[in-house]
Amino acid sequence: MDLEIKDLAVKVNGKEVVKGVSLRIKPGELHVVMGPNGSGKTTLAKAIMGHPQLETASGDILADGKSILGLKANERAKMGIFLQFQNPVEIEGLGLLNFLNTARGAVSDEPLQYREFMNDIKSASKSLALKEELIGRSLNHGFSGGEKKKVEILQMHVLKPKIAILDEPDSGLDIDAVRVVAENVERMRKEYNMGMLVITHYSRILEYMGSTLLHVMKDGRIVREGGRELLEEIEKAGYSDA
Amino acid sequence: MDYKAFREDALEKYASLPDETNDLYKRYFTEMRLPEIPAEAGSLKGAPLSDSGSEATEIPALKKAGINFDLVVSGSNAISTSGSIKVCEMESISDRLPGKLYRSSDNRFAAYSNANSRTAILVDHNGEAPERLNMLFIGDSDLSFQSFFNIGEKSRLSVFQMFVSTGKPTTSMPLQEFVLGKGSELELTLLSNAGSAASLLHLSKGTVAENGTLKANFVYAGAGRTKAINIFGANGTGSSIEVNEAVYGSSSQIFDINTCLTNHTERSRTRLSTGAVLTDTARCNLKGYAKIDRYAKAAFSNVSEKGILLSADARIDALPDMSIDYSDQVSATHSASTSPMDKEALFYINSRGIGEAQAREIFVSSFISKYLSGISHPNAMEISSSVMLSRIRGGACGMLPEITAKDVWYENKEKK
Repeated sequence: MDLEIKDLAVKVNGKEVVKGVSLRIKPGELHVVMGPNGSGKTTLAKAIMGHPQLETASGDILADGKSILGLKANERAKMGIFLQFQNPVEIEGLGLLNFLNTARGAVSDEPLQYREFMNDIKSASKSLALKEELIGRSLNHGFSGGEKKKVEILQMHVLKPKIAILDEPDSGLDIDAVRVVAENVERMRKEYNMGMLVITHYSRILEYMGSTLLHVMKDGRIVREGGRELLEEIEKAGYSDA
Repeated sequence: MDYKAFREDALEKYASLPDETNDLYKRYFTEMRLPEIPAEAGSLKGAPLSDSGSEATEIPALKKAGINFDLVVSGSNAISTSGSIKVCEMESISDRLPGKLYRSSDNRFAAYSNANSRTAILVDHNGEAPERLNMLFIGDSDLSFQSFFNIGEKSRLSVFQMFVSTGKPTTSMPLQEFVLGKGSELELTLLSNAGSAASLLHLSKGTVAENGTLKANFVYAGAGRTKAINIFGANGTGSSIEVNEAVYGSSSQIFDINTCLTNHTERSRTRLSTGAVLTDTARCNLKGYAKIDRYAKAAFSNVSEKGILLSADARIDALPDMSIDYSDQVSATHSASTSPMDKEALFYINSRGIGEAQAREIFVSSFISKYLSGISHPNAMEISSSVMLSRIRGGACGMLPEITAKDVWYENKEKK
């Protein structure tokens, strides 16, 4: 999928938070958005996914050249857009395995035998160093921050999206977990030729990932773009000069 | 009737019928019609299976699920196929406990039941071998009866009771008493799924002796009007009481659920968890009350009441209350919350490709399932879950509304 964000402005409760962002993510590309807290990164991610409380003030979001602004979140997910939440919700009583199966059925028409599905989940959980017992529990209920992030990636594995937006996949993770998550994400990106937008505050996760197109976002706008050299500059000087 | 009028009406009725003894709950009173029970119609007559067994036919859905009923009560008939269950005239067992534990002085509903019930259902269970019983109550006429469960020392019993109705404007008034011996275990699951024209007045009272365990699961899905007054006491050292209540109400259903748990002794544990989901103009009073008596050292008590409102006109009054007479090493907590559906949670579910209607269903059924998860009786879990799911999906209350006594399927164990 070729995802193009054209001069997008988004309002939250009447206040413009994203102020004219343009970005194009082609299949297999890895884009990174960095920026200080409150610069509009998460709002941008949610707007791409179609959060119903956000108001698109101007601009457009195109998937393979067609506007998706009129589509609901579930319709965008069916098209192949995935959002990894910065703060995944906990839903007590909703079995994780049941949820994964329901979600898979919602986005895919391909039948999958239960045994095949279970084997796939177990294998992916092992790859993510996720305790197997977690898949028998309620969705994110009582999970640690790191476990929640890994469960998000597990969902990404199940849904196999064409475009993945990862909102701080590394926050709350220890050093080993960052590597595990990054390696899994990178493997999926290559295997499925997945376009990817990663929002992060840290460069460590990018050490395990491929060539990067970096966008620096400040006050709702993309103020600088570049490659690894820009990343090094930000690491040294912060965002004040960006 | 709008809510203000509803409240004023309730208060007016309360003024003339002061049933509530808790000052807080006096302001949230729900009146209940108490019909006069004709002598013959209200008298359940225990009928030997051989007398009426030939009339029994099958309910395909229940047969398919492999569910038998050990007791079926309908109109003036009570058919028992279990040796553990005896159906008899109240007068013939005046030396036993029915009506003595839940006393007439407790409230006017108990007084009414004691004055009008002519039939007793006795369940004596002794022995360590666990037993499961299924009971079906069909409200095809006004019905007042009492049942008494005597669970012997170290005995284990699991009971599932289902209330349905035929669609007539009837009132079912079961008064139940439970006496649990030392180290015994009782799991009781009551599913109310009477039709919207029916009313349920559910009175239950129980005591748990030393190291005994009572788990009560009350699933209130049906009946136009439900009033429950449940009173349980952890009487023995180390005894435990867990009550889980799940409520789903739609259209103009009214629920008034008053459950009182008391820690009487050392190291006793009580827990009340209530979850209610209401839509349309349904209303619910949740009155969870916990009391820790003097000398209940190291007691534990928790009352939790949570609600979800699916419409602007639905209303939940969650009123957890506690009275603590002893504070040494005691843990006592209560909480209440009521909110509309969590929009962020819905967006999360939607973002996984799941449509709005299904996302709502998933969210609500997940919430309700927390309060059903304590049910270990397989039939009780299966039917309670399916009834709740049907209600969440918009189904009317009153499962199998065409049901009649002749449609009940059960297995004749004695003839095996």
